[in-house]
Amino acid sequence: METKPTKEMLISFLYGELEEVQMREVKAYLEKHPEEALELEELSGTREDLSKLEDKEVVAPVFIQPKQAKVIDGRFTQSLIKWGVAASIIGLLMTGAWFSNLKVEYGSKSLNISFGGDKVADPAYQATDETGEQWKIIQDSMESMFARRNDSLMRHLTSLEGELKNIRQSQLRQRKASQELSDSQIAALRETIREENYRSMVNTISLANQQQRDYAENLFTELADYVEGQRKLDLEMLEVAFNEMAERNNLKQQETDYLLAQLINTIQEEE
Amino acid sequence: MISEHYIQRISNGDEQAFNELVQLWYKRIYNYAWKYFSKHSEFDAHTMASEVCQKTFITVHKKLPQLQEIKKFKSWLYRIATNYCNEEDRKKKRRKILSLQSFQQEEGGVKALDWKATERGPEADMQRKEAGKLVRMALKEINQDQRTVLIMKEYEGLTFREIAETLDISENTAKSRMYYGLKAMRKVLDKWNINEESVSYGN
Repeated sequence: METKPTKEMLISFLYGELEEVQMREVKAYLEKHPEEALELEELSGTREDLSKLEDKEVVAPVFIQPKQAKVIDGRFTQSLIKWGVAASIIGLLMTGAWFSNLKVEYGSKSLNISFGGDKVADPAYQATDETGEQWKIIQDSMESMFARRNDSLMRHLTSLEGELKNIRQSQLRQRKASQELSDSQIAALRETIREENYRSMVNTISLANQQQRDYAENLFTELADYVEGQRKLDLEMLEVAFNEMAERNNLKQQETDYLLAQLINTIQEEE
Repeated sequence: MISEHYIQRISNGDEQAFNELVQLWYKRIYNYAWKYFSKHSEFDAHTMASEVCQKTFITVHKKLPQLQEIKKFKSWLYRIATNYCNEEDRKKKRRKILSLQSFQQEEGGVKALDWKATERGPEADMQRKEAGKLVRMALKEINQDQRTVLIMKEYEGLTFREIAETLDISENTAKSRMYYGLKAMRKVLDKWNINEESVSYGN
């Protein structure tokens, strides 16, 4: 490779993520350009440094999942309640009608409603044969329509009751499942808690040790600083004392020299 | 491959498989988040990383059926974790509560929460920890984007393709960030006069 490899290529080379051919090309280029090879070596050294930061040991918690239950959507529940109430009212009315032996008839151009007792025809109304036939047909069709509607409502009510029952059972199962954990889950949970406790204790002790170590370290550092300060002070005092002594010595020396010179002069004059 | 096996089991209704999947990935996601939060104190980083893990695995549990390609599970998982890391980081910036712990940190009291058991003697262990701390401190000095790629590559072992998928960037951008990230790290370590020898003294 004659052209300089891009930094992306160099990085890929460093992590061995190049194709075999490209690897050989970059290698050949680096052999020819030692300054580039040195730069890559530095990056490799940095990677080595990075490896000094080790992973922390952690315990993965146990995820407890309740048994999967059918998720009940809010809107679905509301509509279910609405239909349930309507069905209950109709059911009550029908039950009441059955108990009171309610009969609804439309005949002889009149609507007859009775609760249990025999129907009594209103003498005021006397229908002709022709219209009577027509009313009979209308009455039959209405009766059959009511019967069909009743059947359909009853079926719907039964299915709603069944659905409500299923939901209730499913909720109960879900609640039970969340309360009752399997032996393996309890064991795993207990193991996690035990491990966590152990690590917390180790942590606390380690932190206490660290604090004590820091405290002792600070104490010794302060003591060392104090001793060092005192030593410097003593040395300075000694230096001052020596300097003074040296000066006094010089002065005495000069006085002695002066006196000696005078003495020599006096002797020479006398001679 | 192992993840794919667990995901297959989960889709077949095996509830225990999800727990096994969590056991497989929890440590990785925790450590990814812990290093991601290297600019925070050790205590805060631990709390935030735990939070990220919890949220990540809850989301995984909820959305696993929506995962189209099982082979992309790793980058999908790290994308969820990265999103939660960003979220936690933003929340932390908003809160800015001066906790007792951070106060103690500033005072030089509580320094580390290290759970690693000692295997090479207390002295070597302490030195090793110190070297790790230095690297962690250096990590927080570099640009966030570069740090994320660097952690994913160096500590999580993702390929550049997976990093690109996770962060929704091109492979070349990922490589470029890695290059400048390593350069920036070297610069910080050089500034502190930390070289391979000085960080190796604990071994």
